[in-house]
Amino acid sequence: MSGKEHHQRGHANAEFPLLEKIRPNLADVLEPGEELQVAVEADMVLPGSFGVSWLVATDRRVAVFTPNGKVPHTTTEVPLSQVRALRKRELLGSVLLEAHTDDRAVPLIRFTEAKEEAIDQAAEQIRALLVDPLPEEEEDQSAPEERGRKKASHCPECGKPIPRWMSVCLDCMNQRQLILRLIKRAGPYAGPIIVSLVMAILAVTADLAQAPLQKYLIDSVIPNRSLQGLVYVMLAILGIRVFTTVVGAARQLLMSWLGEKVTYDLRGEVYSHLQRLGLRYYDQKETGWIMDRVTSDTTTLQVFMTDAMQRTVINALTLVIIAVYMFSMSPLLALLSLIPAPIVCLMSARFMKRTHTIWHWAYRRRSRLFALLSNVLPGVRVVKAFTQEGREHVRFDERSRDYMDANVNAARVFAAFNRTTGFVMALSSLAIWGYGGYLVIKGVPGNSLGLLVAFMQLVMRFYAPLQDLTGLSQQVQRAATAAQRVFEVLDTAPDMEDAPEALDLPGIWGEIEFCNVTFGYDERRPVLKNVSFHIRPGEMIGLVGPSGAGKSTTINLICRFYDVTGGAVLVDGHDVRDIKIDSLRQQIGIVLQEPFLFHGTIAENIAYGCPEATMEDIMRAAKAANAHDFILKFPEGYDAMVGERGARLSGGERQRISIARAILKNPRILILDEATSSVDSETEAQIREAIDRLVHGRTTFAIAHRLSTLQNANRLIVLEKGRVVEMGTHAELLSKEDGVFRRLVDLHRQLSEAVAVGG
Amino acid sequence: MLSDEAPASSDLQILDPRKVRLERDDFQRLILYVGIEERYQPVRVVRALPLSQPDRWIAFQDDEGNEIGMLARVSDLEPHSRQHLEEELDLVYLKAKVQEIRNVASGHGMIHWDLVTDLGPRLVYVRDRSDVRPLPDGRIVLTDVHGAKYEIPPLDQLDERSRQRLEVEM
Ligand SMILES: Nc1ncnc2c1ncn2[C@@H]1O[C@H](COP(=O)(O)OP(=O)(O)OP(=O)(O)O)[C@@H](O)[C@H]1O
Ligand SMILES: [Mg+2]
Repeated sequence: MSGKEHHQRGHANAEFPLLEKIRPNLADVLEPGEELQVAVEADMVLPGSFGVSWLVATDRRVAVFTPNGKVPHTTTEVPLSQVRALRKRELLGSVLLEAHTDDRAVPLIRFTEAKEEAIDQAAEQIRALLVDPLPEEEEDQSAPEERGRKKASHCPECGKPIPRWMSVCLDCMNQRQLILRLIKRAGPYAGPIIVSLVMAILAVTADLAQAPLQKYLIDSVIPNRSLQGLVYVMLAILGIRVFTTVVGAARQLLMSWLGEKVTYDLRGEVYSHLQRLGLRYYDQKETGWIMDRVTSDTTTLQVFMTDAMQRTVINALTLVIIAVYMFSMSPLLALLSLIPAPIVCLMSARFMKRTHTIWHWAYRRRSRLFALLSNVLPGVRVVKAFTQEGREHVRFDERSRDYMDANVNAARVFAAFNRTTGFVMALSSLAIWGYGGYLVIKGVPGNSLGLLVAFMQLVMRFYAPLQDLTGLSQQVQRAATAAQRVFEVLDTAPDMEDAPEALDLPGIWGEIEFCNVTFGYDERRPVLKNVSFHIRPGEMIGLVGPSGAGKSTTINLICRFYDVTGGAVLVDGHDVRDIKIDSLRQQIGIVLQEPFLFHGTIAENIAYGCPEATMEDIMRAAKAANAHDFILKFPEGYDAMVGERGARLSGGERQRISIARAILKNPRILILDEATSSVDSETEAQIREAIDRLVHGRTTFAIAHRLSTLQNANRLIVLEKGRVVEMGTHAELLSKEDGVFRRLVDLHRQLSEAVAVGG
Repeated sequence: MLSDEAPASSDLQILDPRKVRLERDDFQRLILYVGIEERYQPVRVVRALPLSQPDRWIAFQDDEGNEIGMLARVSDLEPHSRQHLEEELDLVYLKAKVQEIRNVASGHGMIHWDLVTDLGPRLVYVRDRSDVRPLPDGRIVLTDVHGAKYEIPPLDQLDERSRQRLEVEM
């Protein structure tokens, strides 16, 4: 398909080609004088199958057609005068557009997200035609394009959607480009690569010189019974052997070093790029998938850059050198032996095309296997607790078998190819023996036994590099696939980077303001809706609300783990997007809802955010977090290892260590997300008291389900379903008879009374 | 790093080494005097960093385990008290210094270390590799199944064969 067609498909609505295209089809359906005004194509047919349907608006009605046969079939229509609104309903994986009249909602068309952009535009145009439109609902006005937010776009080449977090379309980054990009990356290592190439060429040339030596041996030395000649030839061959061995060993050493260096550099680059990527990226990718890219893909690339790339050059050169030797000895025989070469080349070129898919297939299966492992192993406690070992085994086995099948399949294809080329080559040596033998027997001048032997030598050596070159396609494939995957990471633009003019705010006051903040992890499903509040420096704010209300999300936005979809988050009056991320986060101490400890000692974990902290600081922070005493109960004290993810500590202990970690940072803004949910009330009271002293002068956000935790908060913000429903002091909120907070408190009281009676 | 505010129960108490005096009572238990008016008997001593900095940050606790205060450095004490403290610490924290590694073998799901230590030869059972901990300064600490510690000096202070055996294990 040509690029132009793609283009039209992507922007069907911009130029109304559809309108023109379907106008004749609709001639029979339209009433006389009816004016066709908007038309757009959907990729589903109501109620829910895939297919084409057209949404059409005329000056009289809004109608939907399915284009079967000559006369389109009207499925739905609503007089334009009755339509008061067009509303989208986001379903899972598809969207429904409804026409609302005064008394009902008529489903018009259903479509997948691929068509959403075009249909949005069309809907907008139809809305403009409505006689008496209802005021739009808030949700319906999809948030205006905000800076910093990239829309899913479409590839200009193939029209496929490019995910928001990618900057290029991977399918269109063709193999040649990939390989070129890889070769460019070899640039910094040009020195060692050239040295190694030169060494290889010297070795090959010397090695090949054995063929003419053999010819000389057979044709002159042996018939002349010259012992001296024999000794010279033997010495020469020995010399060549010694030379190639030494050079070969040296080169191998050089290559191994270079190989490690290349992987090391690449791995480092991928890893540091990963660190720059925002949390969104990690929400979308599985850990194993990412790990695979850092480790095995970089290794594959190393193999390509150090081994495959060089072998290509060496093999090509070898072929040239051999051809030169052959033609200088006997042009006729040389031609004969080279006949199969183009056939082999042709075959391998065709083969190359197929293998890319095959390898990709195998790779994806391996990734899936890795992803499963890294997902399940950390959760092994859950697996055991729910006795799901058997099922996990089955799941693993499935993926493992998939991977095996993919590999077997790949091997099968390669085996077939290798055998075939091998056979073609064998035919060629047969031809040489036949024709060459004939020439020698007939005594055609210029042909001798020595020539024939030397020639066979060369032919054998000729096909080895050729076969190797075709075999290389396999490695090139692997490399291209791995490169694609690695570049996919490297090309992912960090969704959150400091603006060039970003401010460095070394000492913030801690004033926080949310102005009409709308945010959704998935942009179509807002988690926070029009949230506004203003917090003075030093205030302690309690965030309360039912689970899933968006409390942790609010905090994620303050730390700028994600960027808002609409509105703005201000710290000290500056939009957080204008502040250097580092300088912002350095002043925020946060205790996450799921405290995460790294494998290491307790002291290291507390000092994670401030590696330069002294032991005294660490202990003071631990003391304030009420952790010091339990830490000293460990035989190894602060030197105790916490285990992977802190597995050797209890939930409450983990929480207290992460509180200490946050406190040690001495932040201007302290955020406690359910920080004390796993400790008993008494310990909590102690921590609260310590924190109360610490938060003095700091802006603090505390989230808690246990409302007593928030007693000392200056103000409480009550969130429900992503909206601020109440805000005020404890007393103010309590005095609201039918307030949400009041209801929560009453519920708590009843519960604790029930416990008291029951206990 | 942290602002100094009015001391409270949840604030770390760091003792002034000049005011700290240690004695032993008739039962060989440690008595701690802080200044002239405070006396605690008996007291327990706890190392905050028994592995990485054994001579720093010693916590004194009363009989119930409540912390009285911390001492920043053992060496800050006057010699008499210091000797009492060091004796007590040595008593509490049994730690043998390894002089030679005679053999390392595994069996029954454990690793057996045949060691010669400054406290005499000993066959030590270690559960797994995580109980063999290298410290930043190059020392290695083995913790056996009973929780006893064995300190292996940095590699370059070991004899050749011990070093080889250790390297295999690390
Ligand atoms: N990383 C994420 N990706 C996608 N959706 C998310 C993500 N994190 C949270 N959500 C969704 O956002 C909504 C709000 O979640 P949030 O974590 O803010 O709730 P919360 O108020 O902190 O609840 P809880 O009291 O249970 O912690 C939930 O519906 C949740 O499913
Ligand atoms: Mg939460």
